[in-house]
Amino acid sequence: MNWHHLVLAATASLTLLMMGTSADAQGLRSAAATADDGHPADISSGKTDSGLAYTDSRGMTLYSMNLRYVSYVAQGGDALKYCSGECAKSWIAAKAPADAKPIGPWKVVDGTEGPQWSYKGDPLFTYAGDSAPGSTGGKDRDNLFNLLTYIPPVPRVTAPAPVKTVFVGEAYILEDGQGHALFTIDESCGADCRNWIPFAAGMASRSIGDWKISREGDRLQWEYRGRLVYVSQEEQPTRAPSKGTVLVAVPALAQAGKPPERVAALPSLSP
Amino acid sequence: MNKPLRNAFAMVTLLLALIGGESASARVVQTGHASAAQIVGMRRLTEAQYRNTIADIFGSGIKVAGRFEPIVRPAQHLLSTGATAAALSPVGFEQFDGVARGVAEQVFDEAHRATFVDCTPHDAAKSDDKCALMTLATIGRYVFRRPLTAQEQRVYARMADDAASKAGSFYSGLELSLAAMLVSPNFLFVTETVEPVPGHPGMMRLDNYSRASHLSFLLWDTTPDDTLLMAAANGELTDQAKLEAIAAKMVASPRLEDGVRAFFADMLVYEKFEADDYAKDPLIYPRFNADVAAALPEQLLRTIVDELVVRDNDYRDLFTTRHTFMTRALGPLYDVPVRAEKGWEPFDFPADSDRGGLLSQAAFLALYSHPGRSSATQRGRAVRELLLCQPVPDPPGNVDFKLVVDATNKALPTARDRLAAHIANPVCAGCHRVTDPIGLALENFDGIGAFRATENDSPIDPISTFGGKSVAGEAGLSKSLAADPGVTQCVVKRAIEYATGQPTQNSATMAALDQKFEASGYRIRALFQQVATLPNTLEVTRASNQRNLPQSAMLTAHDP
Repeated sequence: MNWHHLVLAATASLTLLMMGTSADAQGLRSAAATADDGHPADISSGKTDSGLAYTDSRGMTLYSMNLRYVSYVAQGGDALKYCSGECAKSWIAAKAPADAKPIGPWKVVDGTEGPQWSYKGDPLFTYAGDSAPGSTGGKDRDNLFNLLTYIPPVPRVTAPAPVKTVFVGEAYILEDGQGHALFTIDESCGADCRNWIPFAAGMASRSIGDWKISREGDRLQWEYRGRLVYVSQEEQPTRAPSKGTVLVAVPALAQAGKPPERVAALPSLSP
Repeated sequence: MNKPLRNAFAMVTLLLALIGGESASARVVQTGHASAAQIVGMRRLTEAQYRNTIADIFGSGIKVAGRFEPIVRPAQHLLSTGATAAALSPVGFEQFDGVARGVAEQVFDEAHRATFVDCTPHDAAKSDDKCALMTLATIGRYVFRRPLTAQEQRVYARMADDAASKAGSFYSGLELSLAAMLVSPNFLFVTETVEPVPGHPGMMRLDNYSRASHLSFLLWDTTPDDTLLMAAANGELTDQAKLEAIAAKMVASPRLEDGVRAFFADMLVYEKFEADDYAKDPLIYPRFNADVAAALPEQLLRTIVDELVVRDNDYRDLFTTRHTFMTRALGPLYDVPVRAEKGWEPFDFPADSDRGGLLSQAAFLALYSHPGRSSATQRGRAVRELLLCQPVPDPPGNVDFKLVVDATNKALPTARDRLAAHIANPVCAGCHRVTDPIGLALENFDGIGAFRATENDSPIDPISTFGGKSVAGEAGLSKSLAADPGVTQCVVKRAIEYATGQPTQNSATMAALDQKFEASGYRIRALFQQVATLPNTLEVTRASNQRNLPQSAMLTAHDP
């Protein structure tokens, strides 16, 4: 069954939210990929110093070379073989197996060292300066190479209709359909929650999955697994107030040779 | 939904809307309900009430897209009075029809249907009368603010079944039926039906469901919730003690803010903010941009709600309060620093500020000004009519305004000079003596409500008179106004008219209500509680089929 557990991750510890970068913003800079595209068996994804990114089979971060820009720089030369000599010492081609087959935007191109993976036409590399899996030392280097960001597939969440998901940093958070994060609290919020905006339910709404309708106040309010849900009014609307915890749908990372997992292996909120 | 089906649907909804008498002015109509209740009033939903109702029934995720035919305000009265006489033009009906179809389409689209349909049709491509009936009866109770009658249930379920068969979609059938409900007079008009008062022959009273709507729209500006509908079903709302207990809970709720907002938006003629009267000459007032124009009416309502509901202060304090709210856009107009980059932040004018209270709010000052200059006459008239309930006649048609409109006349540099010259005409003097002294005390604020000390390089003299006494500028005027009993009497009168949708005159009931208002320390919660449960606004005499408004003639017009 393809569905996501919603998990609550304390905002204080959610560095992904602190980063405050949207998927779109990342995508524009780094030819971001999504797991919906599928991926070759020897490509994975993982957490890096700069968020989620595709990696090779060793876990080393992948970078794409901006072929359009290189074509201009190469001035008529073979742009696919532009990175040679000194460049090739720093940027190591992500070689494709001899029998590699294209998958969606992933194609095999003829690079300096033979068959090489490309994503949406841009050849892929690892950076020689990355000493360990998760390093992103090559990010924004030389203006030619971009981190190949991994954006997980949009999760299918069982939730009331207005709820949408938005990718923030490393995860999809739940929002009210108007860009404001949904959050709840672990303990009594006391006077703090007096000014919080309840995530209102319609009178004709019915419970759905783990979402029930609280009829205790003057306004019907959605609750998730017994906890009242509120709508963020923070200046950065993807965050919750200090005592709040943003509702997050956490997808697993793409695994080498496997379709992306859709069920998070993270602890879910106990009822 | 395909086009032929839409056309058929439009015809059906139109016919349904006509069933039962569409005219809101119809006073007595035998309904098709099992109870054969008499309709004594129909009040069209305001746009805000419509939107609040849809949000409360279906949640804020359902968008209400489209324009609404405006309700016409009778001269010197409230929009809510106009709503009781509002008919629906063919164009207005088409607008409602378009909005209704948009709402219904969203409610039963793939994303939302699981939230609103509690059963699974045998085949989504076919009709399923049992599932349709269950869904529509549940939703219909909220839409019509009472349970659907058995006949209504059958009609709407059959409509859904027929449409589902033709469209090949169970959910298209539901969509059509819901859209039909949303253009029914039972939804678009808050219908007041009566029942005999036990033990009082000839006396009728609003029945339980009418009282539920009465309380809900008056106090929360929205449709009755489950609590009210259940109280109505249990007959609790015709029990005065239980009615008062329920009303007391409602006025204690933060949702009273919505009711108070709606009341003051009506009392202060907020539709004028949508009209050309509010436009300003950008060459004269470059600071008056779209953000400022949008923020001013909201600032005034926020101030009112904060003062009267959140702080629960004396109504009279509204005229002198230093508390308000600011946005970044309003900072330059008020010449104050605003920290928040977006949204609203609380702001207190310092004690030595030139501003304080409702009359110093730029919304009031700008609205009652001309596009390129202030208007002492309009401001004075607004204070008289809106805050003191003292109607001022319109000017005669043949008046020469040349002297007043020339704001660049160096010989008459200030508004005071120009108005003095204008009222040399005795035809004009009568009214201007009533309005201008009030407005002249506000002349330190220009046509957008920004402070100024001079006009045409001449110092402005804001000393004026009110109630026969000298007042110094806005602060002096506001203080005198707050002390004037006419101000509290006026809000009591308006509250009764707002609750009943009918004009009223001074009467013993009004005086008694004013006394209770005074005893409460002029708290708006207390006033709303009193008005919402006033027994004689909930009773009707059979002879007049009008509510027993606090008018002496009406009170004696009992059926023998």
